[in-house]
Amino acid sequence: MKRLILLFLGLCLLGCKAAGQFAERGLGEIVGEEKAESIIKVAEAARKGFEDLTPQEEYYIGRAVSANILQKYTVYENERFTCYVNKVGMTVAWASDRPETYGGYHYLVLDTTDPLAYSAPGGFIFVSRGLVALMKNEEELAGVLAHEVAHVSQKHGLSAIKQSRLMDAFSILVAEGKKYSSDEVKKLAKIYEGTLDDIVTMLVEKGYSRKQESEADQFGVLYAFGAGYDPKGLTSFLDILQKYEKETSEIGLIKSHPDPGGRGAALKQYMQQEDMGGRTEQVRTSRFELMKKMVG
Amino acid sequence: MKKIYLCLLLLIGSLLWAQTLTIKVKETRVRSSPKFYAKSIYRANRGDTLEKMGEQKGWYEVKIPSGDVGWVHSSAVETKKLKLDSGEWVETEATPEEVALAGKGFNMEVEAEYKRNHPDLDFTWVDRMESIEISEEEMVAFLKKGKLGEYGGEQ
Repeated sequence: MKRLILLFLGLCLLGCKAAGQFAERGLGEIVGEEKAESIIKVAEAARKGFEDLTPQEEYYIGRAVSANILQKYTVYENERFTCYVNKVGMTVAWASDRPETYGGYHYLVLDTTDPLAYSAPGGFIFVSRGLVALMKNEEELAGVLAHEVAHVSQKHGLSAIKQSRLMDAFSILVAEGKKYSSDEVKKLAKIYEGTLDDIVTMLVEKGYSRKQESEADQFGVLYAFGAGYDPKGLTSFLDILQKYEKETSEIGLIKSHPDPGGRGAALKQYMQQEDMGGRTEQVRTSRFELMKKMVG
Repeated sequence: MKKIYLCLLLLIGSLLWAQTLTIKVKETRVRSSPKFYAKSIYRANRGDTLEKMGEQKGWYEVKIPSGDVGWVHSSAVETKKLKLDSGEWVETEATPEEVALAGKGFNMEVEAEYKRNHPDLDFTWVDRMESIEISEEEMVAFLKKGKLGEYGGEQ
């Protein structure tokens, strides 16, 4: 037993030393090539699902998913309004359980009257002018953005990637050598394209699962509440959306974020259980109204 | 008995050994206090290592190359233990995936190949979106005016 403790503590020391120098000297030089090889084998075998994608991979998937979304819509080019949305978005992202992603959170406004909201892996978040036009105050905007941040923090987009694609990708990634051959790059690009299709199809056509929506709602109100917003912003907007769904045949947002009525009721119950309450500050509503006038 | 002393010595040594953290995001800021809108005192990039001095509510207190001390958020760094085939454990600051796939995975090279295959896709706005930066001063003014975060009081 003592030997085991000694071995463990010794390895802790070795590990700490290795940790400090890994970035500069490479793993092999620190723990020896044989151990490095062993670590890599274990790490490769450990990659089994979307949760094992690295922050950098998530970022590159998010970039291309965003490019695909932006192919369908025009960007609303209003620096002041975009800046305002980014400030609200940053405020709720900072209150999240994953405030830093590989490339950070970024927000853009789509120039369409359809009420839409999308989030791509890694933190690329889109809302439409049409969605903002339905809102009454900053609390509702914060609630919606916090909901989208939750889809990112909980990796809901990545969960759409078919398992077989990931296994194909991981099998190429474990190949010998530090650099890819051009053939490997081509194969990986093909798999990359497949993963993007899986995510875009879910975001734009199929929508998230009911469980994921409920999770994003609950995390969303927690983030908004943590940031200092009235958490009722999201439930209030879900009521608006439910009314909108009844009055129009527009299904853009409803398709990707289904059943606003049922979700709103469940969320109100959750907030009551958690004793979450807050106040809508007039100063925030006033600045939101000023910004909304710009959007038209 | 000797083994017990040695054991204790190793234990004390491992506790005293400063833990090093590695930045896992593309870029982050070391701040003067544990808040996202606190003054940035150092810009750290992926792979940079920082010595951990302490921690507080999701933030690590770290020493930067100048010797000054600042704060970095825990979601920007990583510490993991790796199990070897032999069953031994080695601690590194990188995740198993990052160790195995340093420079690999879906990366800039794969994105470039994807772009070649899809010349119709335009990444201009993705790049512009990423370049939007809001200063700490602007964020503090926004939070103060909106009575948010620490400027809200009641929540």
